[in-house]
Amino acid sequence: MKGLTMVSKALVAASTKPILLSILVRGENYGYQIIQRVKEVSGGSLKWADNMIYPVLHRLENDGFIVSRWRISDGGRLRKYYQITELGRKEFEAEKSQWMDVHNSLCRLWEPATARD
Amino acid sequence: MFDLEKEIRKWRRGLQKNASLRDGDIAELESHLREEMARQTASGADDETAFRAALARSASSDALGAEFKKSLPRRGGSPASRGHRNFLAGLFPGYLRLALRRMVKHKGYSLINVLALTVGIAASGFALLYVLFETSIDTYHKDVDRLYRVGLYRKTAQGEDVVAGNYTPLAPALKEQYPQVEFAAQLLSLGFEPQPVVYRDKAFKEANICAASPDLIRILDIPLLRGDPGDALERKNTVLLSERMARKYFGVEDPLGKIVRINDKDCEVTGVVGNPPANTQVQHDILMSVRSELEIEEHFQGWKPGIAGVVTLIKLKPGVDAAEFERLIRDLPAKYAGEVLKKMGAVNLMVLQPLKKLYLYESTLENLRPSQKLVYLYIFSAIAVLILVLACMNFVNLATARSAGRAGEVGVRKAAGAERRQLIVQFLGESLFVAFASLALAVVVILLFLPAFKGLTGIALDGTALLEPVVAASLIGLTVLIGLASGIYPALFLSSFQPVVVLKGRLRTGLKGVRLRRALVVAQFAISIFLIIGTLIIAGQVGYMRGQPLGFAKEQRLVINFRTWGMMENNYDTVKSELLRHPDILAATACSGVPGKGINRTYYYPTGLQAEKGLALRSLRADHDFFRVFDIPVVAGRPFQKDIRTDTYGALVLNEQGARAFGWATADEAVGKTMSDEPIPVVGIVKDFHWWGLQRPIEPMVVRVSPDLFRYIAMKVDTKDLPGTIAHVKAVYDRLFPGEIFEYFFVDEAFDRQYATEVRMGLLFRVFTGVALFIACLGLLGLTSFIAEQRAKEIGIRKVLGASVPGLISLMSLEFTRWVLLANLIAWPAAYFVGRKWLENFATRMPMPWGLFLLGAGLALAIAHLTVSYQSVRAATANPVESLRYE
Repeated sequence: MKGLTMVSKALVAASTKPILLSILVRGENYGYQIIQRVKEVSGGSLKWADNMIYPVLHRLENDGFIVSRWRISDGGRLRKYYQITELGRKEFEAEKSQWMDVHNSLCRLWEPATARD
Repeated sequence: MFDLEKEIRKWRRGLQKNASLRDGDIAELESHLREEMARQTASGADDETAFRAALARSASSDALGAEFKKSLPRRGGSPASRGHRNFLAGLFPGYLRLALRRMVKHKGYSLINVLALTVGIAASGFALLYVLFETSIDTYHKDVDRLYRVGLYRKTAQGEDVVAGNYTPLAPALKEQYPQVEFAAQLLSLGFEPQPVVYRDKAFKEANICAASPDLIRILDIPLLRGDPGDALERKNTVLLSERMARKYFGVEDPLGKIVRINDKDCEVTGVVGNPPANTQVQHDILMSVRSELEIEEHFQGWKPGIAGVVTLIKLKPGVDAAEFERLIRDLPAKYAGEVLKKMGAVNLMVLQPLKKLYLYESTLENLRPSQKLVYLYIFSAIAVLILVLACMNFVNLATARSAGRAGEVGVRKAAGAERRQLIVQFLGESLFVAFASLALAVVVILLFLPAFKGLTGIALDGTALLEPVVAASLIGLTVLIGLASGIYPALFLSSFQPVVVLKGRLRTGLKGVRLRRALVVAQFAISIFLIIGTLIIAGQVGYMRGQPLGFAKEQRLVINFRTWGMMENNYDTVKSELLRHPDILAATACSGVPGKGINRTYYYPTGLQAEKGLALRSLRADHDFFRVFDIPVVAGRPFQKDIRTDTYGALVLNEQGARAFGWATADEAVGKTMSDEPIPVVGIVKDFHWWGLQRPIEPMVVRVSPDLFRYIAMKVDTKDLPGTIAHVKAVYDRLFPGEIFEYFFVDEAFDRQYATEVRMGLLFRVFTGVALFIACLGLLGLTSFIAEQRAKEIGIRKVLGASVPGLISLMSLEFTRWVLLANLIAWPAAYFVGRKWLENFATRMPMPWGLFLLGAGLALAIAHLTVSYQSVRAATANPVESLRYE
């Protein structure tokens, strides 16, 4: 992790929702696996207190973006799986376009000066 | 040593303190924790390190709580969020539907539960009806707290007692002399036998005839439907009829002013009163003016001790202290009959007996003591409660036994966010549902068995009795109580499961409740064995009493019952010889009573010893053939002889008890002594014989030949052509007593009727014991099937390893055998104690029947094995491949 800069707390908080939706849009998943996935794609730069995603998941569920169900794994482990809803997909699209807008704006601002008209 | 599970429990308890975290949330967090630890241990960490590392990566309980709080729905703010309410709705569409579905799914268990509770509720419903009826007798009267019977306490050298009949002039004296008395009535019940009542072509024998003075209808508040209240019972030879009697004899005719003939006396109907309810001891269907009775019978006149025939009922004025009033009147006998009493060496005192307690209590001089009836009431209430407890035990037993099966459900529900409280409500709801379903069935059972109930208890009730507020409220209350009592333990037990633990399949709940269930089964069998032994003791005692020599022959003794005393005073010899013409009539005697029927007491004393040896003893009047007809041996002196003129009225025979009571050591010593001042010689002594059933001791008895009091003719008959014999007897009777109603009975039947209470008790006990056993067996059946299911794998393995089927069956039965044997240890002392107490009621009682105890234990064991065997055999013969396939 050496040399990596950590994402600020505020940004983590703001990005949690789109990140969770983005993972779930690819299929049903459960809390622990979701966290592992986030660590994987961020290379460790997105740092969450492990279990802090659960309140967020619950909030998303209350908002109707995802639904949950308990399942028992083959190993007898109890897991709560989350699945995105139609409403969630729309929310994901909206979030995605917003973040893309921000991303594009920043990219444009950070382009080398040569590109200036 | 690091105990992972203990640490996790500690951590979980920490989270549980946080109000924002629900069980489901905690389960999810725990699931996460375990995943993380699994990852750590997979890369070589030990449990402790993995646990600490996993915790280090988690947020604190407080921070989590704060976040979770935010995650709650903004609208409403109900703890059950919309999300999981929907989730719940999908899985559990209402507790009721769930309960129903569960019942249908587990048909066997549900059937056992509902059946046991139904039987339990029905049994206690009947017990309730029985108890309510018995306790309502004469307690419903208006101002019942001011109503008393004035009883008579009598004490002589031979003993003391309190009797209902009192001095004839007592009621008028009380009313005239004591301002405390509002009303005072005389009441006279007429005869031991039903009397003929005739109006024109309608003639019946009626049992409920009494004679009373006018105040009776005011004291008991008997409604006078027709007639002048000022005239009712005032004049001689008048009568009040109950509504049903008026209809029976007069139909649509107006009964007022009509003349009915009651026991040969013409009486004018002066009124119609309401029908006496079933729950009063004063069955006033035919209420004659007491004047006609008292004025013609000379012995009823004046203050005469020893004539105890007239019952005195009084109503005190409001505010009168009964105890104080009792002290005031206590010594009235000494005031009016002091001299005679002194001569007799007797003490007579007045005792106030509250009317409402007359039925269930017996009076002593100082207080009331519970009568046999009240004891039986207690016994049956106790048995009903025991049966209910049995049914509830079944419920608890089966519910906890099946807890393993329901643990998964509890886990999922909790994980889904259900709170423990909700689960408790759900489980209680289920048991209440089962209880109410059982109540509905029990009501049907009660309605179906009301006729049988009447046969058992003699109490006629219809279905509306169940709608009485007290009954309905009690039954519903009872049902709620049963539902709660049997549901609360399973509810608390099941709802305490930790979801993660359960769903990981690490909870061996089937074993956890084993000790409780064993205790319950042992308790059930202890109760059942207790009841079995009780039943056997009752049956044994009744059989013992019946098998005892009575001292006289009761079989093949036919009796003609005359309407009243003295009807054959002058011609009994003719009647007898007419009867004896029939070859099957072997002997005949005229008498005032036969064993098992009522018998009066008369006062006797050895000549000159009135004060020292005076005694009221049972007094039988019979001719010289009585002892021959009943095969009663004469032990000293001689029996009455026809050819000795003075034997009629002028001689007497005592039984051995009688001789002893007067102080003569041997029978021979008594013969030749004289009695009373006349004097009357004692010509013989007969061997003691039982006049009453064996509950009562043999009493001193005197026998005299007094034709004026004969009212029965008893015959020793050959029964080979009984109808022919009876036809002959009837022909003779009709010819000699035209216009009379012919009535006969057999001595053995009449005598055995004295054991009616015991026989009925025995029958009731048998029914209740059957019910209790049935419930206990249901419980056992449910439990065995469950255990067989649980041990299916064990049995499979044993079988694969070569165990034999009989070996396996005995393995499974052994456990139950132990339980039943243990139950015996509890049941025996209880049965012994109660049995001994009950047997103390009998003058002649069987020795403590230890064989019956063994028999009871054996029966219980056999029934238990029979119940268990089906399941054991099924489990033992099952193909092990089936049970082991999924391992």
